[in-house]
Amino acid sequence: MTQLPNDSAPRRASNDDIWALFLGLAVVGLALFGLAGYQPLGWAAKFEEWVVPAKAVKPVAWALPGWLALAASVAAVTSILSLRLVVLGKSVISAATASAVVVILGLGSYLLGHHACVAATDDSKFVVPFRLGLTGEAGYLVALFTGLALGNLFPGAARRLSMAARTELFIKTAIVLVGVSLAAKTLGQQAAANRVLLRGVAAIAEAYLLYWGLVYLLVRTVFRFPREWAAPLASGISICGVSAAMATGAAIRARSGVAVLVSSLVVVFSTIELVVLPFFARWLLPDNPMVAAAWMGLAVKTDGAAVAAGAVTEALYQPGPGNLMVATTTLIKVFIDLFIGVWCFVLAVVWQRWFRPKGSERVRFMEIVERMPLFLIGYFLAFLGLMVLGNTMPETLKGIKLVEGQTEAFRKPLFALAFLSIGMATDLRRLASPGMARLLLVYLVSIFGFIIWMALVISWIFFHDIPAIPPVVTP
Amino acid sequence: MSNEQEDLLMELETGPVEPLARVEIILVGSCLAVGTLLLVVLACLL
Repeated sequence: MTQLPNDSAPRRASNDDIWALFLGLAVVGLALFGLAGYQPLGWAAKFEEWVVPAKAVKPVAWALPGWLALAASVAAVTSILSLRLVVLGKSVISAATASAVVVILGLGSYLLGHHACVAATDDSKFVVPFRLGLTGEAGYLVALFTGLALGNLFPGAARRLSMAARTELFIKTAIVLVGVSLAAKTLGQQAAANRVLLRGVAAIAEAYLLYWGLVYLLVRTVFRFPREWAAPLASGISICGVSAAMATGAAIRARSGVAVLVSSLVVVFSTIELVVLPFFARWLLPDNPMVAAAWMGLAVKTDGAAVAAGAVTEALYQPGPGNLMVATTTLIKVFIDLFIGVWCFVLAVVWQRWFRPKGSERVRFMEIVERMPLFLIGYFLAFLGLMVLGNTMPETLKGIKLVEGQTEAFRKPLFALAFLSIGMATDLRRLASPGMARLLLVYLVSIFGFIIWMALVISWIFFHDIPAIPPVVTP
Repeated sequence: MSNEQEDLLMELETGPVEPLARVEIILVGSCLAVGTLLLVVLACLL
């Protein structure tokens, strides 16, 4: 999770978390009319590979000109972002302006990435001087680089837009929608769903127990950091980036600046991993797309960057429609997220019992619930709800595909907005801040020294025999 | 970077070293042992 917190970040569910749950479920709720054959979100824009701009966008289902569908999508997302900001107390004009600029930049970048020179994978469809063959998902990278350029070359403008560029909001809402996508892709293939789900359990053991233990030991013994730094660093590097570092910092009652400094490092490194690791995976594992997808979920920190890395990896492999790559990366990250509350409770109990002064505030069991990311409820509601529906009433399978078609029209642009926001929040100058050298070294040694290699080995063990596209089961 | 953050980084460079407590060794040892065991069991089961 990449939104950098400030020093007074709240301990309870973040505002973005609540909005993501609400928005994700609202989109799923509307899309569910697809079960009855109606598509109330059929006006939303669907991006296509293009050479002629007029053919770049078309609506999901309604008979509309492409430009109108694009305008409707931009207006809808801008309105929702503006509404959230107004509710939070921003003026209507500043909220609408910042939201509109962010949405236009994000969707514009995504659209540019669909140009045939970048995206086309087939020579027969377009006549272009060259083609990179990256599929339309390259739009995510265009959005990331736009965000990086904006955040690092025009920091003043990025600061003004930051109220609308909410990585957590975008990625968490998109993750709720991935629940629909995973269900639609695995319905009728229960065995494939079970295999992926069970392998998600391995991710929990790996992130919380192996990575955390090793990073903590390294930080305490080799780098000789105090406990106040070691625990947030171990959580930030091992589990789930910013949210884990902040939650751990709060659980052990570390000074707030510690978690903020760790978080700023996590954001920068996640972006580097996001740009490098998918290409490395494609080169290293040409025949194992699912291992690569799982690897992204285990090795790239922060939800946004991990799921984004999964999307780029899918684009590089081009496994075809119905593949489970992004769903696998997301599922692994979601499984890891699920236990942040429990882990922080364990740490809080240990710290209170052995390391905190006598008489300090007691750890409450409810802290587990308070630290549970709410958007996961939306993800599991969407996934399990559709799985139960599709399995008990097979006649709804066609309708579920219509539901997925509508939610995908929002999930992909939300990913693009998340990429833009990740870039904007990545302040590369932080790396040159005085005193950061040791923190930087801890991160470099941990991530590139053992975490990505352990993640690779474990991903291979658990995912090498799973096909990217589940085989069709004939009754 | 705020003054508080600069102070924290400075303290990290110059502050006293906290020796590793027995509880920390037990915590990390348990993490690594249980994590490895879980992965081996899962790898065998799947």
